[in-house]
Amino acid sequence: MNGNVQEAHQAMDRLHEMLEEQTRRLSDTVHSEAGQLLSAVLLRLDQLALELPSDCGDCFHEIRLMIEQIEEQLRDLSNELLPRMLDDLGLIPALECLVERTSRRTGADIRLNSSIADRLPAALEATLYRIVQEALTNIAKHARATQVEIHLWQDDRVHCAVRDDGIGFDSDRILQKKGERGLGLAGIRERVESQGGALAIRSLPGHGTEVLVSVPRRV
Amino acid sequence: MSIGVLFADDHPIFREGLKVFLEKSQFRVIGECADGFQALKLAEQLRPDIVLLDLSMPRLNGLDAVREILQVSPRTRAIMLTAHREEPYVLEALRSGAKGYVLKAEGGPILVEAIREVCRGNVYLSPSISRSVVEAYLTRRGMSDEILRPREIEVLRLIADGHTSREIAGHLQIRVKVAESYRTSLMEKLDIHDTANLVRYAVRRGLVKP
Repeated sequence: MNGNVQEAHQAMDRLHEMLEEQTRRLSDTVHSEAGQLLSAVLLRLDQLALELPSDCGDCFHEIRLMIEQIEEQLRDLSNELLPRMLDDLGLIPALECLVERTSRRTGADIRLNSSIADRLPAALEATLYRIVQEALTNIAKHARATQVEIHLWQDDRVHCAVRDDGIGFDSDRILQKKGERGLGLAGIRERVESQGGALAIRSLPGHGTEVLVSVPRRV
Repeated sequence: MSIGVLFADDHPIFREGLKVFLEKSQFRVIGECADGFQALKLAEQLRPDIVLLDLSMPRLNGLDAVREILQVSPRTRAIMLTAHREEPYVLEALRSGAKGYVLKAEGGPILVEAIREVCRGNVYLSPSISRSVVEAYLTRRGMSDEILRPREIEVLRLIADGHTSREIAGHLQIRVKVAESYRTSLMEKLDIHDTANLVRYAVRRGLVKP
């Protein structure tokens, strides 16, 4: 590989690592710091309730519900940034939860098939999670799909394919464009390439879309 | 005598609130700490009736801590007390031997009920959790059943290298019984029930060289 190109890839890789680290810290702050503080507040409230006269019950209940809602919103936000589950249990359980949330939100039938039984390097798990997340976001926003299939498998590389039966698009045009939020597919491609992988998108208006990624296992 | 409780959580503010609440609710708080490793040490020393564990903790996380605590203090019953409500966590906790799973946000009264039920020998799941777990069981759509956890992969690799449970225990600095329980749980997850096929599986997965 040409020296300049390699340097550029390394710089891009470092940038992505920094971004990922920042996201992780942000997600942790939201979940750990703020979320835990709210849990402590709820416990104190419950303790207070034991001593309250019974006619304060309704008001107390309302306050409790509001705090529970804040807690839930923070948890969703933290999950959206970077789910803890990715670290704790690994890529597949984290993707299962993402799939479930997305199907519930969009009504699409999303299937996840994986033959990967062990954990992958953390950076690779994060990249693959981001790819599927981005693909599902695009599908939810633009594709009008009813069926989505996600496949993950590995040989000396790890492969991921996301297919939908939506309206499709002009893939050349989309790859030129950066995402409005998050990395966008163009950003994902940069990130995959900086890890020595490749990303391909096959889409034709009216014929659905397929995002194909392969990345070397050693990152 | 009142129920003796040990708890581990890496958030000091939450720990403080929990301690006061448990004491007001007539439980005996016999120990508290900030990670799974300390919880294991304290459980061995104090033999609590109940141990409450957060899931994500430094050093040894709640899931690995449960398994090891049950080996050093078999009469202790473990309850996960966590903010995570996703079902893969719940299933993994139950598989590791926890008898209860309570969401922090559900708060005091639920926790009191959980401790009492688990002490009676029952399994207790937070009300908002039990529905999703039952649904998951009925639809059986989860695949994470087969996902090995890092510790299980280490054990698998050592089995495939021809080590006995005793040697594995030595390698990982855990008790022989804990090593055996990892062996059993990975056999169950993979649905492979003899060592020869485990070795074949590990080779196929690239965990060891043939």
